Amino acid sequence: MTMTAGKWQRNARGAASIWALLARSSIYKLLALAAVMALGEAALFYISMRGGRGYELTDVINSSKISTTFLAALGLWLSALAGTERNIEEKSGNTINRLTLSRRGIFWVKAVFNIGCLVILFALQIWIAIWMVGAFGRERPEAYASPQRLFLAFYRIEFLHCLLPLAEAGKWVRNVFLVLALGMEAAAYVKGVPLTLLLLYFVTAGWFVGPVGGGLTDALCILVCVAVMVSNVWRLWKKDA
Amino acid sequence: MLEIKSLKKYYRTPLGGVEALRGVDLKIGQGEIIGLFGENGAGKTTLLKSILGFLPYEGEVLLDGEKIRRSNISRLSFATCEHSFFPNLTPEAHREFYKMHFGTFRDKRYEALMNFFELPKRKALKNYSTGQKNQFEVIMALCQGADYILMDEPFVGNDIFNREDFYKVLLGILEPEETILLSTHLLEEVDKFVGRAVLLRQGRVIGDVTMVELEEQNKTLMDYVKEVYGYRPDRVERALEELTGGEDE
Repeated sequence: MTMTAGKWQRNARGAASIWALLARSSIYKLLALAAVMALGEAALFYISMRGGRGYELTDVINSSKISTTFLAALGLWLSALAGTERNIEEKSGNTINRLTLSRRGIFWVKAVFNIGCLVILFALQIWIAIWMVGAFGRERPEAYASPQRLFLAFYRIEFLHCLLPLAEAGKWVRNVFLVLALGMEAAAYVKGVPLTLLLLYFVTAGWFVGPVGGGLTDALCILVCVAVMVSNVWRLWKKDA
Repeated sequence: MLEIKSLKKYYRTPLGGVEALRGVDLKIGQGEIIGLFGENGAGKTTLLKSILGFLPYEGEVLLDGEKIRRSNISRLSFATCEHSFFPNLTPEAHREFYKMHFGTFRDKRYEALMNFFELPKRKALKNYSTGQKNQFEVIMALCQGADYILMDEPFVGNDIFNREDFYKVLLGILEPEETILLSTHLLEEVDKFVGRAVLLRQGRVIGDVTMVELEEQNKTLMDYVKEVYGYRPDRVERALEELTGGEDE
């Protein structure tokens, strides 16, 4: 029993150190990307709002192309995560391969780290969207004075609805699977061209923004994510076996 | 005891394949300091990486009778000219990382060696010079608290004084249970440091001798290496003769 507790403690310490290593190696890149995304979206939003590209909030947000900015940022965020982790494996593989933590353990630490980072990116985008709605209300109170403007914005604007699907369970499930699959695939990437990660990213970029209740594309998206996740777990299991 | 039994390694290449190790047998007792010598492509790096389990191989590598696994791999440390550290991290971050993974980390030794080599502790390693990187690489291998310290050309890029210092410091700090397997080309520099020399050629051990045996035979390590490799001292002379003779005609 004592042995098990000791081993568990050792593994937990090892996992924490890998987590710290990942954070130390990627934090500046991720923060810079997040700042560029936030500033870029804010600038595009103001240009759109003050440049008269629509009177309604929906038109302003749609014409400011924040969905494109977000999806581009997501791509760069993923490439920063996967690239950092590949560099660690490539340049410091001699150390990584000598750790008492198994390859499977290292993979899960990386995957959880990536998933956490992606959740932060989504949360940041939601926060930016909420700020935009507030800013629009302050700028044009006469155009959008409803007390439910925030709630309505997340229903009327497709991108915002896909980001925070409110009562649409199908999109919540899709988003959860997307984040899990992207995080796992970025963690699995070690060398060469990250084909599966690219495929998954293009699926996300192509299908993320869709109409309320777009069941078929969401289901396909979930299917792709499940396939990617299962293949990762299978490869990992095979490798460690 | 580290036992290597009939170790074979075959690399597949587009043009067929290369037999990098052709049945290496070696026994390394705890506390030994062994020099591993051989020309480029003799199999030194492959041997060290196979011992560590970085490469798949045929044969057996046993550490005190057990296969090397996650549970006992921390008894081996590795310093290589390819470097193993995390370039974005500082030495202090490495120390924390190692301490979390290797309970046997030698903190006092780390402090002493970092101070001796005057290495900055809060500078990211990617900003170190090549010589400093090598020094740090060896320091971490020595401080991990491993029983078997494997080194693969660790001093490539360091000046002679620096290397001399390292050998002296190494001899001064090593505990009796610490074993060194040092792969290098710098024969004449390490002959006072190593206690045993193992010679590899084309993936085979072709010589294995202790320095005491050499002393008894009144031979230097260089003499032994030349003898084993069949080095012909008149080789250069004859080649020069051929070259200059052609011009005279």
